[in-house]
Amino acid sequence: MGLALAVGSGFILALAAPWVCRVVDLRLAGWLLGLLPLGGFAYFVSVAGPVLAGDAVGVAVPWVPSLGIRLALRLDGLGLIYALLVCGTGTLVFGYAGTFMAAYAGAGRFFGVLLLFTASMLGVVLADDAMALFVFWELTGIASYLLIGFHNERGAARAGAWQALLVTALGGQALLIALILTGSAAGGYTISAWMESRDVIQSSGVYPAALVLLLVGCFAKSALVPFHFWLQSAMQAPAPVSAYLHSAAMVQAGVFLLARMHTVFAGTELWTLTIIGVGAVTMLIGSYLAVVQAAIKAMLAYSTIAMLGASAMLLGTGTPQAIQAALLLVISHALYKSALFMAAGALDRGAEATGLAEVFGLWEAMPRTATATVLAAAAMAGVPPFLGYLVKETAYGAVGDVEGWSLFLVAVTFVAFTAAAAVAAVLALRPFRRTSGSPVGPARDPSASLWLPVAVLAGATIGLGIMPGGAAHLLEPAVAAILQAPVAVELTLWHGFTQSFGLGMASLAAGLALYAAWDRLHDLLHEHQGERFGPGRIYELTIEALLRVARIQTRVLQSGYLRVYLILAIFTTVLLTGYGALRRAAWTWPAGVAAPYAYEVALATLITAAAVAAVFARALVTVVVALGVVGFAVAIVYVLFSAPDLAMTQFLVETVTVILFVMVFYRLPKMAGRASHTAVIRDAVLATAAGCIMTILVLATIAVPREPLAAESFLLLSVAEARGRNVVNTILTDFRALDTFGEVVVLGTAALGVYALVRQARRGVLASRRAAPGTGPTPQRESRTGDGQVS
Amino acid sequence: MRSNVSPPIFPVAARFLLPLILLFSVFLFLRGHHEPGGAFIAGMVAAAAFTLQTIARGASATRSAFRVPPRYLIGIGFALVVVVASVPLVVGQAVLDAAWVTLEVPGGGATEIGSPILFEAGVYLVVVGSVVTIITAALGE
Repeated sequence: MGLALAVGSGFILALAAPWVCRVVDLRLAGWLLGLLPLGGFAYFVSVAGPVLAGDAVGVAVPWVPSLGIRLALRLDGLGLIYALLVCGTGTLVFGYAGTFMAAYAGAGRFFGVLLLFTASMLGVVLADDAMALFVFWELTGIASYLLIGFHNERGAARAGAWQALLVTALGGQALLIALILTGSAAGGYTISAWMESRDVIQSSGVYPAALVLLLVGCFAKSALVPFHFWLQSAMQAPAPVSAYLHSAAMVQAGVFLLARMHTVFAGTELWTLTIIGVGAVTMLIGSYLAVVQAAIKAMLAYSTIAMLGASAMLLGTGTPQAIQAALLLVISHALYKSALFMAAGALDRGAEATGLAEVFGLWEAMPRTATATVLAAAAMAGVPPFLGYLVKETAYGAVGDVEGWSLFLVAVTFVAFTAAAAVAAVLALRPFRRTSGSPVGPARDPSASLWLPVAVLAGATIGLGIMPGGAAHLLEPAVAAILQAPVAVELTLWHGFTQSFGLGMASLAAGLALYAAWDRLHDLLHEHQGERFGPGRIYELTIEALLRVARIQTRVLQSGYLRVYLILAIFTTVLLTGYGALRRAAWTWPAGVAAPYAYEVALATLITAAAVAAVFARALVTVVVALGVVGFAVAIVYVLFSAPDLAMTQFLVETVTVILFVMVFYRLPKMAGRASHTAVIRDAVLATAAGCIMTILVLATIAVPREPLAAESFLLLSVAEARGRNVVNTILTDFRALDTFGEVVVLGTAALGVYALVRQARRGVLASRRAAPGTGPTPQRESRTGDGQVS
Repeated sequence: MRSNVSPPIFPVAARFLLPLILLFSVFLFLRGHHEPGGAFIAGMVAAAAFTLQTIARGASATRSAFRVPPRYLIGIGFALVVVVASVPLVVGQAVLDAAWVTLEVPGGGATEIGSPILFEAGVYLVVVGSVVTIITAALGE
């Protein structure tokens, strides 16, 4: 139950966040709301004992029992690492964000969404049910959309948010199909059970499709090639969001799912080759793009992409050592990248700078921020004794052991770590170096809330680096959970002068060399920034084409004339239903029907006569009254067939509808005149066709032998299960309550729509009256909705 | 509709009919579980009462009869329905699972009361809120 509380409390507190932000000073509110992830961190530490010993803690709440879907949560070694990262970095980011966001309106909304994100992300890493995983997965995407678009007055922020949502949600759809395919092969949606039926899943026919779709979902979420372009656009988000969602948490979800599904899917060539290939290409492209950027956040974003590619590549390699390296990289990257994004925000605050070109000489002005930033950058570069150094050692060791591939993989890894070292050097040295002249503007250290989290995260990477035993203790159950076999993890900072040590030092040196040549390199590459061709451009073209098609089909279908909508709707129904009915349904004139009673004949005549009268009436009110007669007569039919609930409903709806129509038509202008001859003929043909199709449908329904099962079981169960004698009502409120729920939502939404429309129309009329006093309802209204042509 | 033109009998009658029809609507609501009636029908009856009121005395009179804008009822109804649907989840049951208790009625006898009545109350509020929102929007000045 503790797990459910850990996830659920975030969702509940998300609702209270705007209120907290209004009552408490924002700088304090950040740390106050940060108590939630801090509490989560403490909780996960407190339950870590059995998990580290190799057990898993779980809880399950039924959600849709008839489909076997449960809200199942399970904490194993892998989930523990991610949960600690989400809560740990979350606490610091919340505290940081309180001060950072104090400058903007809408901080309450910001924190609400941030809490929603934290809870959803915990849900992703703890979910043991595939459907629950998918729901949490998509919630993180929605939260990311809202947070990237926080500055919704900026066009670039809106576009970035939209792009991130479209790309990750597209991946989400692929993931959903993959999960359903896997679930159908495995016979259930419990992820921990999938691991046991791994052979069944891998030998089933759906495996290749499920795997490819799963990978699309993971790659899109983690911004791997070819989906990498969204992460750069996501940098429109405020600094705390980039520090949390787009480095430590959300983008790691794809890599997390690869690790989670390793047990189920890994072992085939398709898995290994695809992941290693995509991971390696992402490392190369991300490294190149990171080095050619000029803005701090863009450099960080692309180096994030490269490191996510490296994590994926290591996971794909799949040896115990490679998986260790992947997890170490995930931990180290989350810590230092989160720190650096916060540092970038702090620099931004302290010196009002966004590019690197214009800041320098900040060492004296901002000593504390500078120290924290340099520490975090050293962690990124992988200087010993930071955790980053350990990552490099393990990674080089792991890829060096791969047979056949090793030279290529070592080279790619070298490129990625070199680029990371160069970017780290740029971040650590450029803003603080001394150049002739004075820094722009009066720069000084921002408040402690902005630099302390950076220092704490950098400190954490030192802590894990100098105590590799602790890191190994944390990794062991996670690697065991991925490989489903006990693995002994040993980490030491100093291996002696091995090949890995040499490569690690060489990539550090190459990074520094790249930094030394930075200015010359950028002059050379100046023409070349960003991508002119590539997936980002394809995305833009696709969206443009989509919008063009939307515009054309809107012009055709959404004409604004009610009668066009009606014609289209009825025509489509007649066409599709008619095709199906004529092709498949067996319909015959029912045999052996008793002769109708006199009052039944009278009622039928009345309904027919009223319908005909409605068609030929000359005044709108007459039409309404005639249709009302049809409705009331149908209600009497219900009474005759002893359906009192239905009859009462029909009478009431008919009454209110007639009144409403009369009242509205009373205000509309008189009928504009008869429709043209062709229009009358068209409408008559369509109406006759619709009537014929309905008759065929009714006949077909009668021809189907009645299956009394449903009706009888409702009659039987009504009193016993739903405790009511009115079966109609027990169906509505108990057996099919979910349907009622949906209908209520539809009704309420429609009413709100009418309200909004009328209010807007009225505002328009008032505005036009103000513009031209004395003119009544606008002529446009007459021609558009009120022409009242009856044919 | 134009109260200044129509004779006074209608507005006065509407005024006295309103509580009677509303009482009838509550009656239909309560009997719905065992006899013909129920939340939707009861809601429509109440909505019809307010429609009558609107015709007789104008949309602003109806609006002021509610303490809050009528569309708020839709939201309150939604909230009620969502709560009834999700509470079973918290205690480990399936969505919308019904819970019942048997109450002793003073003076002998017992009656059952269950969570579906809250669900129905939500439906009732949405129906009343929707129709009154539409009517007052369409007929308001």
